[in-house]
Amino acid sequence: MKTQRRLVWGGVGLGVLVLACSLGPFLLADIGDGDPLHASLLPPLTRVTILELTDGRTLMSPEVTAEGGQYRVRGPSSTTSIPSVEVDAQTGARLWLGSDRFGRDVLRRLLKGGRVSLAVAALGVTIALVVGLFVGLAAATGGRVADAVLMRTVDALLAFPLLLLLILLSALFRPGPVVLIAVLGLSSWMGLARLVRGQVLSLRSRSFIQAARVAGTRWLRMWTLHYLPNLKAPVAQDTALQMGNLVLAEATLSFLGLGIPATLPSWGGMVAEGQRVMLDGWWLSVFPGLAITVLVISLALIGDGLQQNSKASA
Amino acid sequence: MKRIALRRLAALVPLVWLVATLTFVVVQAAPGSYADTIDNPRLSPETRDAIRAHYGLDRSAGEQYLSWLRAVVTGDLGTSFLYREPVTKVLSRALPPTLLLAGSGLLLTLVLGLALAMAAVRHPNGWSDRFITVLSLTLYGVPSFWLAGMLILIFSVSLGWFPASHMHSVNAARLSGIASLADLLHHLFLPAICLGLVGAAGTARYVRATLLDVQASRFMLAARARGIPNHRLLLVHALRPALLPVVTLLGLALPLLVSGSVVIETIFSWPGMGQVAFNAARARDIPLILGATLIGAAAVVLGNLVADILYAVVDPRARGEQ
Repeated sequence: MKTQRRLVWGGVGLGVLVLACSLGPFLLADIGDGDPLHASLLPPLTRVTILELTDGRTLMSPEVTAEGGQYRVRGPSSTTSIPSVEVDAQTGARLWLGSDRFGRDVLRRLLKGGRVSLAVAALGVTIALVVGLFVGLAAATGGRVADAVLMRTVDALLAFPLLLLLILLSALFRPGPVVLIAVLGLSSWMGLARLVRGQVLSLRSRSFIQAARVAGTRWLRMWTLHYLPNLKAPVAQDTALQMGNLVLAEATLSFLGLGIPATLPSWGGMVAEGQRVMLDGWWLSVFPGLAITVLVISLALIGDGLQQNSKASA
Repeated sequence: MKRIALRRLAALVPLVWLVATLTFVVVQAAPGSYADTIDNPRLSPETRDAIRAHYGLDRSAGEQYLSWLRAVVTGDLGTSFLYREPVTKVLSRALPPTLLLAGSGLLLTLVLGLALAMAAVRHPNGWSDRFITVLSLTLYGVPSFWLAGMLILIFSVSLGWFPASHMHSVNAARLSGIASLADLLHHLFLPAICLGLVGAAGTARYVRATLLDVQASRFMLAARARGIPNHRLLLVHALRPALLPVVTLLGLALPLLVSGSVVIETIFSWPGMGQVAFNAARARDIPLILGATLIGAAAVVLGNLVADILYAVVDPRARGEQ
């Protein structure tokens, strides 16, 4: 009963975020790159008028008036007058989460940043999943020497403070998104490898596995047909929690300026940017922080729910 | 038991060596060197080469590695390029602030985590349990750097109750003993709370689950039947077995705490290991990077060892085995 509720809440949270990030940018009014002169640091829910000019520029301000064949666009520091003939189109939009220093829509950037965060975490966790499964299975079934070598390596890597390693690697290599994904994935498979090894070792004492081994089943068939299906539940649970950790790790690195390059929006980077002008606009750092929190909590709920599900069925 | 501890202590050396070697490989594989990070456009390529030669960076990687290793065995970690001081001196200056911060964070993690868990299981599924469950889940998901920013915004900027950065006030040198201690604690409060709250959330979630498991066991029923009062039941009978996984968890949480300190130290300008490591990595200060990771890895491995020993202290059953 309660476990179902956790799974449902986690699934809803994750689903809403994924849907919003993948579809949101298409549904929102396109306000281009924003207007740093007239629309910087507008609070949430502000209604703005957007003027598209014939030369391709976009002007945006909450205060636009038309009088005597001229548009007057008022901003916090400057006012611009534009002859009506130069205005191509006039549209209105609401900035649900306000705008940043450069007059960009925070909600739009948040959704775009979410794509980056979700993609990095999902791909990173996929790498961790593949490596962890492989190492765990190899250690459990590959004989005593392989087991000792692999597990001591895992011990050594676990003794390394993960974030310190990530900071070191990112500071040294200045990675793009691809390297970041690889680094995140390759530094977080150890827990999974341990888990898989333990599970496989306990599976080996079960009679159906012993029967299969006595029958002379080949290793590939053993892995795909006997081990992997029985690992689904604990692995899925660990993967969900691990993905939450990766979201936090990526956000932390981007916050420190070592993760996603500043040219791409990312939640961690947005928090860092917002904290620099915290007194001028609380909304700049609050909303991306909330987004990270909701994503991590959703993943934790899914992990919890899966764990209790497998407990209940065991 | 002593023999086990000694054997584990001996096994620690190759582990730390492995981590240091791994770090060395990573640093060597990275492009650029300290000479390239000096931001001075008037530096000619010849001067940069001279700098490289001065710091021994023109030697082959194998040579550098061997000479570093030879020095480490004698307790010499080399000289930091960035600080122009022996690495041991830089690190011994940075270690106490980090130990203080991480230690306070750990203490808060334990105390808050246990208190929240025990308050929650007094009436399972009651309103306080639900509130604590939601609270700990929320804190678990909150990124620590964001929490730090929010706390600074509320308690430093708006209310002005606590300082937002550094370890001492500017005039700390002139303060008397007690006043300077109070000043230190005043500065410690926000960063320690940041570290502690995030850790406490995980601990509370975990301990609550184990406490509920323990409460369903037969010895608890027997104790309740003997008429032992409720608070004693919880504090003495249920808590001890529930502490077992916590001890292991703390050992595992240590790397997290070390990593967390890096972020918190950066935000609060806390003059500790995290800041030193961060600066060292950015300046390609190889001796300092290696020294810092060496200390960090040793701390983590030692912490795990202490956790194992504590485990044996708390659980008599674990003493005989292994």
